[in-house]
Amino acid sequence: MLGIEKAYFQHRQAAHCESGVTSNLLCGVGAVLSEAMSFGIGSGLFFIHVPWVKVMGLPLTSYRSFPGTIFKKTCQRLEIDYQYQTYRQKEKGEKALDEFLAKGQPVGVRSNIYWLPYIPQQFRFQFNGHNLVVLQKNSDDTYQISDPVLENTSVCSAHALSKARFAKGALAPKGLIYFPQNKNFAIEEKLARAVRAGIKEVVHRMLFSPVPFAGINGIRFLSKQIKKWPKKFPDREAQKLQMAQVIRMQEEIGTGGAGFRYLYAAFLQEAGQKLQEKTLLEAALMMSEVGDLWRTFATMGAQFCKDRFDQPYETIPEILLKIAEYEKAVYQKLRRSYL
Amino acid sequence: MKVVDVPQDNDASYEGAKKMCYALDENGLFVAARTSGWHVEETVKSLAWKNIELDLERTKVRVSEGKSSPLEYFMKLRQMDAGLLAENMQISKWRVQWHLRPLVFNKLKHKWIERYANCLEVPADVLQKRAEPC
Repeated sequence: MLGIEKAYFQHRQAAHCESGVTSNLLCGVGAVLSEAMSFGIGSGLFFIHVPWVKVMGLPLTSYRSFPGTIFKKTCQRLEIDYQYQTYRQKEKGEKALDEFLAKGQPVGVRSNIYWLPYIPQQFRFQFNGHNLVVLQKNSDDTYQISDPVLENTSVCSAHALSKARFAKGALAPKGLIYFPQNKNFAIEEKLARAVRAGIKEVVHRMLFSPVPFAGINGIRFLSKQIKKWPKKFPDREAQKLQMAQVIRMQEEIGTGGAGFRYLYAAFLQEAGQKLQEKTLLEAALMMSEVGDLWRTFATMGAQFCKDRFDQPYETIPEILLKIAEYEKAVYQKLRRSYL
Repeated sequence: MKVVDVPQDNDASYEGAKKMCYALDENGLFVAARTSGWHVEETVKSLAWKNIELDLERTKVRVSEGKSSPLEYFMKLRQMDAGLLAENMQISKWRVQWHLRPLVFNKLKHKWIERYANCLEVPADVLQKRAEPC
């Protein structure tokens, strides 16, 4: 029975690692769901800027929800049973992975991206939230890996994979493995409810954040913080590094551009087509415009990093306020005419 | 973003790979598109990497002057700080900071050198003899 699943598990490239893994794994059990749909149903969109939490000495800015939640939420909302298991002992975790693979089960794995040798060198940094699918164990002690951010499947040594799976630190993966358990699953009738739940969570999170540094308020907070940089960091180079960090988190690998906004717009559009909801189709185009604005912000930031900007501390905070306004309009529209 | 506007700036750090993104086609529908890099991303990424490399260079000089231990260099090479290295070693952060001092590091028992070497994926003799990283 389990052997058949692999026949239609397909490696498809995705914009974001976790939604890509979720979509590929679900397609493997017959629940055909695109990457954008799993990103939306799993409520992947967010914004948070926390200057007092440092990642490699620079403030934490995130455009996505907490790693690990997309797969769980997508499965829960579509009522798919899933296995989700961490291991305290390295040996046990390695053995468990091999056992599932021997049964022909593609396994989702959380890992530290730094220790994965097949990722281009400049994208490797100590980040414990990278997701990938292990397909099979080869005879020469390597694994066949389907990493959704790459175009093709890759090969990774058992030693490196184990190192990546059991890395410590913030968001430590603890050898996490996960995969959906149902077979030949029909999701059509559950889609409408799942999409609504997914959108509801994002709208509430962005509009009614209980803290001032998350959601729409978080974007405004970032704008205020940027205004303070000249005082906080008298050195121009330090200011540039701060700016570079914000934009890296927005544009670098696994965001689909513009800090997931295009990915979310794609979800809104696909959901709108499938459920025939006009509001979602309109919201998709609005969200796409928001994405364009984020790209403009990134372009300005890069010009600032190249010293090609005379008055950065007037225009850059300004455009962030504009983004906040436009994004708020999208969520309010969804809240009023869809939820 | 329209499909025709998807940047193709041939970012060298992609090493020939292409990244996926979503863009609007001429009918206003989202489709998957491939990008070979965007100059904006390249700018900020190279800035961040330059900073890391500069820090490594400085540490290397300090190691050769005897002001820092080789452990500090390899820790930074693996993009870790004392806290993260401590967690990976499963010892206290203060202990790692103590070991980072050159005088202490030079007297460290081989058992410790091996543990650090294992954790940082550096050969033990390279870590001890402050040789160049491979």
